[in-house]
Amino acid sequence: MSDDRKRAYNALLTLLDDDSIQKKQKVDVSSEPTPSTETTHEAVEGYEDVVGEEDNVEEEEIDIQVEDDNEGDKQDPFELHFAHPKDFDEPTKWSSKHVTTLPKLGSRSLIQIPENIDSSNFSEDQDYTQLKEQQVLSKVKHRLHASFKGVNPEYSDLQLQFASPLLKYNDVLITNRDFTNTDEYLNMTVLHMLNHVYKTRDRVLKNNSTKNEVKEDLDEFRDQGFSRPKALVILPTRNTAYDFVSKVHQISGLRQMEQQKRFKEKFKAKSSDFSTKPDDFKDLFAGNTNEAFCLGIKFTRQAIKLYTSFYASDLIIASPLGLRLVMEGNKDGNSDFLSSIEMCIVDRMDAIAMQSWTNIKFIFERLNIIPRNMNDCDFSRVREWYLDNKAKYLRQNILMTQYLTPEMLSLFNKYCLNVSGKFRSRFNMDAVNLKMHIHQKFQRINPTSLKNDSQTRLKFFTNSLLPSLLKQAEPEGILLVAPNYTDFVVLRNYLERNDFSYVSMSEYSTPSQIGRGRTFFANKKAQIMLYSARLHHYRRYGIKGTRTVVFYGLPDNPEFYTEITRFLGRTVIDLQIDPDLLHVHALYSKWDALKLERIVGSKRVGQFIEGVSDTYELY
Amino acid sequence: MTESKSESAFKKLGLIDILVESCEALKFTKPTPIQEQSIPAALEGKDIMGFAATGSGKTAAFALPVLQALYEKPSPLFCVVLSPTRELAHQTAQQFQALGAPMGVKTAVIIGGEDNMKQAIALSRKPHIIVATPGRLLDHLEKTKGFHLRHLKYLVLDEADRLLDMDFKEPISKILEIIPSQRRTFLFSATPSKDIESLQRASLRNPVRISVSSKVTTVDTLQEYYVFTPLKHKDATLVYILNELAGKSMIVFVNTKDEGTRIPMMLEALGFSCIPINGNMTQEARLGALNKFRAGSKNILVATNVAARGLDIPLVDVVINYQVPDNAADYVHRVGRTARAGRTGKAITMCAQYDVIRYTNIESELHGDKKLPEFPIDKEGVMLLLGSIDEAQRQAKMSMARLHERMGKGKGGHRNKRRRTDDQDADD
Repeated sequence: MSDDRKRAYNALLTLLDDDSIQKKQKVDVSSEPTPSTETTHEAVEGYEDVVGEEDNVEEEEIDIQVEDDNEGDKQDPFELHFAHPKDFDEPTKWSSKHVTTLPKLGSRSLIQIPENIDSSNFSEDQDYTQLKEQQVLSKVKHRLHASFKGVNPEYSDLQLQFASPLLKYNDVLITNRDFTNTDEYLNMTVLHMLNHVYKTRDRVLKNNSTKNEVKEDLDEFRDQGFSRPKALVILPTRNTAYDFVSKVHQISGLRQMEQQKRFKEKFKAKSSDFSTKPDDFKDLFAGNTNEAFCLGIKFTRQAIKLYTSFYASDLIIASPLGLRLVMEGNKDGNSDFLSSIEMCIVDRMDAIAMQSWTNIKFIFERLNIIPRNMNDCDFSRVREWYLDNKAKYLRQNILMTQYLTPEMLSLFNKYCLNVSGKFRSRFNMDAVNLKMHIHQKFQRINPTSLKNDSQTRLKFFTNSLLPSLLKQAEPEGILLVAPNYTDFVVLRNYLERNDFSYVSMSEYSTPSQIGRGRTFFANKKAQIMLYSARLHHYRRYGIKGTRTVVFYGLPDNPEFYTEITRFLGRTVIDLQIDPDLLHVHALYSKWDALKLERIVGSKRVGQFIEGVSDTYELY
Repeated sequence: MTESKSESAFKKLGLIDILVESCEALKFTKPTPIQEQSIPAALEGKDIMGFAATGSGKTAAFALPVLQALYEKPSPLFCVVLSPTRELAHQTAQQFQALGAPMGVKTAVIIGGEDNMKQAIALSRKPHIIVATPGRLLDHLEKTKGFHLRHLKYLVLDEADRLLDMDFKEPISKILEIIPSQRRTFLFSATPSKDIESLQRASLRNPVRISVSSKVTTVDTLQEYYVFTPLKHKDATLVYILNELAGKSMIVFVNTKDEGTRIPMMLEALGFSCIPINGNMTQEARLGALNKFRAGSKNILVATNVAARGLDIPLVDVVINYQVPDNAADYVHRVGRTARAGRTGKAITMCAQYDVIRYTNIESELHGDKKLPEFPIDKEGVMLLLGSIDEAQRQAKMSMARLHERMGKGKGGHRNKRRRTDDQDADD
């Protein structure tokens, strides 16, 4: 055990070099500072449990009196999709259809189905319509009905529409998951996930007892994967994990939750005062914002057990960083316990993208791989499609984000291969509402390829945009927003080399650097402030003294565009300046279409990208 | 005419039509002695104790009755065949697969050195026939949850003498304890011995004893030749023979790994399509080489002794001993690669001035006073080849030197020099 701890510690030390943690620790000043040893222990919470902890699996298997509501119901999505799916080839080509019947999920939504497979084999119907409450409940284990009603007395339209692809076991990509609909989405997701976990578990227990009676192994008993964990939930922070687990507890209908105190201590912390910050920020950064955790949860007949060893868990709740740490720190660096994930839920993908995208790719690459070690797997019970290495084509992926980035779309296209279909929500988007009139000049750059994008952008910025800005009557107060750290470094180097009067603030800056920078800028001691979008994500500063905003690239989060642009509104009030003298300049290329659409709206985006002119103005 | 006669020959042994057809499809013309004797007894439901050498067709002798029983009463995990080597296990499984293809038989090969997990998955698909080396099979019986042999009907101990030679005694006796005692058992061995007798007592019940030949001999359909050549012209003579027999599938046997690497290089340089199999190669590489050979994309296999035992390559026409084997048993194993199962074949042994005594010893042990005929060689033809072979030999030598250097055997002092020559070559 001590050896393992040491390994975990070493893993963490290497990780501390990783930028994501550094950034976090440097930036995170307002939440109470944690002593470093504490963080170390905390970061790999649950790691020690991978190896240890004798499990009392047997105890629960004695009291078998299982209601298996759905056995034999050939129309049940669980039956069609997991228990007895028809054999299928690997999906090769996908075709998409529009779904207009679920407006709450977007009027331009798509369903993608593999061309070489009959997807109707995996779900009872191919209709995408708002379900009725009764239809939802008919697919759900009876013992979840009452507890769910307690948590979620009324179904909203959003929930009933969301349930349609969700309960069909389709892959789902939701792009309007913001802080206002947390309960609506998560209640439904948790219900569906628990339903799946219960159905699988009940079937296994029932078969255990039948098998003991007949003393034969028949093919009907193939009811599980290589390892027990069947649902993986990826969340950005400990606080979101705490809220998620609380929901699981309430909806599960189980009274008891073991280790609750330890859990609360480690995952829940009192909220800091964010009174000046926007609501979505308050929501995301409430409580414990630690980004490294990995927790195993097991369900028994009477209780939910937290901190169970991963191989004995039904459910893994983790942050991308925490899970990767565990996977890499694991005995032979393997991820066998992720071999049989049947449902992968990623919530708040937008916040995760701000942390580090490589970790999430790392995880998805390693889901549903045939394990390297046997780990006490009963091979007479493993389902055929696991043996055929087709589990990744049946895994349901539920991805939820506030806005879509190309990286997320690539994840959805490349790693979500559910043969029953992939639902992607798409909205007709309105332009952002600035609630004030400001000149916004959108400048299209036309690089010949994606590779040349950053080069062309820099060239345009340094050769035409910046010189023209400096020729203005009052060439101060230029706020230069870098969409990511690479651009930030490129710009900083340029400004430094050419002796511009500037200050720079990124997620790696110290609080004193930031404080000094803001004062210099407000007092016109520096003409230019270089500001990174990620810093804005973590801090949400208001920058005083801004006269011109330059978006070197558009921010992924449309909120940031509004917030940063509205710094100008403050300047108008503070300095009594005519708003017509203040400008926003934004650079974009055709690869920025997704971000651009959120800012200028779906109606305009086509013209912005494909129109003859390279500059467009909004007022 | 002969066909209808032979068809009835297999049928006469009591085999069902579907298997007789398989035999025909595989071009088994008539049953070998061991098949003739053991199949009827096995079909009667008796245990068999058979003594037969490799290449006598004994794989089919046990595979056919097992498949027939399986056909009558199909059930998963029906038969286990214990094999001493990995190669033999693969071949046995292939033979089962080939003979049982029309009835959809599922086989699994469970041998050491391969991925445990893949095997566990293969076992959980419930194959009918498991061909295994004893150690690994026991491993799975003890560790792989959900795998058991409670319904096993047939056990085959193949090449039992070598099973015991290779220290498989302990796993075998453990396996015998685990599997059901209500079963049929076949035991095959090249030679009888005390150990075999005790193994028989432990595993068989009132077996029928079948002995085809207790002494190592070569089969009648084999034409054996020797070629006497000075060591200096050995390569040229080999090339001459290969040219003479062009188009046939051949195995060239050598005694050392180095020769086993050099000769293919030389032959490649001369434009022959050949492939090596030797102890330097991994298990996968060996199987890969065998498959290429079997598929016919390469028709000359250059093999060391590792390959000499237990390989069943059905369509070999000629075996060439580039070097005289150490003893008669090795010789028989080597030439046993051809003229199998009633077909004809040639074996040519190349003998240089230093090998004469070894050669005559083997000759007299196997054939008594009878002398083997010399393979006809046109000496002048050989001389004509010398020029082109010189170049190929030089190339092979250099590749070998490079190979040794890469494997860390290179002599440090020569390194730079050698590299320089390489560069010059490249410039040329």
